[in-house]
Amino acid sequence: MAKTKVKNHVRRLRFENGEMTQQQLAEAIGVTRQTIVAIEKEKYSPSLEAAFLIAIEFNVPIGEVFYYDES
Amino acid sequence: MSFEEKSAWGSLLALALVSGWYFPKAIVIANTSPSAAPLIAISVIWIIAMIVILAVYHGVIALWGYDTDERDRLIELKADRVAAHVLSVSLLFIVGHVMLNLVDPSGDGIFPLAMAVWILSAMALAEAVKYIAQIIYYRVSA
Repeated sequence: MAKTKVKNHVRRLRFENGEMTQQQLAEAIGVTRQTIVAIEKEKYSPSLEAAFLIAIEFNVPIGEVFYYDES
Repeated sequence: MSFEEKSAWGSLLALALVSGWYFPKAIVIANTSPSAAPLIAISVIWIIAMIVILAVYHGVIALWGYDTDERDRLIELKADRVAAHVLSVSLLFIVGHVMLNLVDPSGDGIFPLAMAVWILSAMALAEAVKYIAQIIYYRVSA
């Protein structure tokens, strides 16, 4: 399965934010639950807008949610 | 499974079923019938059948929600690109076939009908490839 080099901490941040469900996060940023699943599995790199919305939802800078794997 | 993925599965199945009925008949008619009427008749049936099946199917799956997002749009664009290549190559083969057979040897006027069926086949094939590509992108990556 092809994985993107854009890694993330979305799964951890969901659990740290009151065990938010994938569906709740999806509804909050206006995407489908399947897209959240794909982001968490690092099979899909979200658009910059969606990435910012996720960071805003968790109230953290975008760099704490997404990072680039240079290895 | 998202609405768009269900849509791709259903559309592929409907296309396979209806085209599986249509194209064998159309090829026989195009190569044997002296009139265009039978081919036009089954082509109209093909189009109406596709519209009805897809409308009912999408109406049913929409009951479970019909949200689409950026990932659905990206997958559709990538699948469209694959389908466009298939359509281009198919049409090139058809044009090549026409150029090699510019004059219908039988001279009975069937040739344009056969060409219409080949062009429709190319379009149906490209659509099928688009749905298959969408399903693969949903399952594997994107």
